[in-house]
Amino acid sequence: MTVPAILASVVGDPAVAALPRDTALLSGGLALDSVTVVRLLAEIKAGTGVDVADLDLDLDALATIGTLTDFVAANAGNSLI
Amino acid sequence: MTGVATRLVKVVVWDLDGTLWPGVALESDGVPVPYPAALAELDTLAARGILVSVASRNPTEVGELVERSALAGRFVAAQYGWGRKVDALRRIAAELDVRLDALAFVDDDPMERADVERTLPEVTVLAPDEVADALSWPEFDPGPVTAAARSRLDSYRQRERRRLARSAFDGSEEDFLRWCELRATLRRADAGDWERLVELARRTTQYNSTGVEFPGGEAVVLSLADRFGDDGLVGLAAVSTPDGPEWTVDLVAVSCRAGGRGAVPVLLTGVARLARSRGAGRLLVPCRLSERNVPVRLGLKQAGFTAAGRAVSGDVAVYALDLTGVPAYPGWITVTEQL
Repeated sequence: MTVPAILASVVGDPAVAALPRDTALLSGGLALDSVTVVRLLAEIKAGTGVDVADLDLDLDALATIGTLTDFVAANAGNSLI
Repeated sequence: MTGVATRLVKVVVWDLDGTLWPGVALESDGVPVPYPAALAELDTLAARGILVSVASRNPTEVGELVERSALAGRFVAAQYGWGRKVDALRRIAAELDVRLDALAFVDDDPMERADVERTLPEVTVLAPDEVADALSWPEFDPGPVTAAARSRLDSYRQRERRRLARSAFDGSEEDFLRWCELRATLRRADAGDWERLVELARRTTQYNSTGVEFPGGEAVVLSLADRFGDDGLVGLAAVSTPDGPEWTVDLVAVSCRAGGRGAVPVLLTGVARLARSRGAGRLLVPCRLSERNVPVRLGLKQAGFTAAGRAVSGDVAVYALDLTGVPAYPGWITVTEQL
C-alpha cells in the first residue's frame, strides 16, 4: 500500500488518495486530528514496516502528503534490518 | 515497561434492546424500563468518571425513548442505525477523541460481540452478565476520581457543541480558537491538586510524554476555558531539576480535550518562561518514541522544541528549547500567568 492509499483509508475518503503532494497534513491542509494521526502512523508501520514515530525525531515528515510519502519510501528498506 | 499505567477503559458502549432493557422497545408500548442491575452499573461508571455511549441497530426514534426513560441524559455520542457496530464504535472513538482500546462494548447478542472481537480486537467486549465482574478489573479502575472527572460528561457535551460550531465556522483553526475566546491559566501546582495530577498522568496517552506516574515535586498546571465552558485543570508539566542551568520536564500530561486545542505549546511556553526567569538557559523534555503519543511531540514542535538526541535505551528522545529570548505565547489564546 502506498502512503496516499493508507491515508485515504484512514480518513475514510478515497478522494484523499488523489490530493496534490504539497497538501499539508495538519493545520492549513487536511487538519488531521490527533486520533487520525496516531492511526495513520500505526497503519503505515503495519503496512510498510516504517516506524515514522521512531525514525523521524522531529516529525518533519508530517508536513505534507509528499514529505511523508518520501520519508516512508526512503526508509522502507532499512527498517527490515 | 515499568511505571507505565494500565490501559484504562474510558467509554463503555451499550446495546439497548435485550441489554439495557428487556425486549424490543420500538415494538412495545410505552417507555422502556431498564434492568435495575444495568442502571446500578451505569451509576458506578458515572461515579468513576467513565463515559457511557450507545450503539443500537434501531432508527433514531429509539433515542427519544431513551430520553423519556430512566436513562435520560446519560449517553454521549450515541449511534443509531442499521450499520455494523464496529463502525458505530469507530465513530464514537473519533467523536470523543479516544483510542479504540479505551472502549468497552456490551451486547447481549453473541453475533455482535463476535464481530467486534474479530474486527476490533483492542475493544474490551462483554456480555451483559459479565459487566458486574468487569467493574472490579484494573482497566475499569481509574484510581482516585476527582470532581473534574465526575464532570467529564458535561465537558464532553461542551465538546459536542464546540465541534458543531467548528463545522459551521468558515475560517482557520486559529481563527476558530480566537472566536471561541480560548483562555488558559498557568500556575504552580499545590497540594490540593495532587489527586487530579495523578489522574491526569494515568488517563492520558496521546498527550503524555513519558507514561510515568505523576512524579510529584514541582509542577506547572494549566486550566482551560472558552465560550463553551470551563474545562478546569487539564494539563501538567512536572519538573525535577528546577534550579540548574538546564531544566528537565519529567512528565507532560494533557487531557485530549485540551490537547486538541493547542494546550501543549501553551503549557511548555509557560514552563520555558518560568525556567528562564529563574536563570535556566535550556529546557529539556524527554519523550517516549511511539506513534501513540505523537500528538504531544507535535505540540513540542509547535512550541519550538527540536530533538537533541536519543537516550541510550533507544525508545526515548530528548527535546530541547534554548532559552535565549523570552518565549511568547501563541496569538490565538489569552494566557493568565500566575507563576
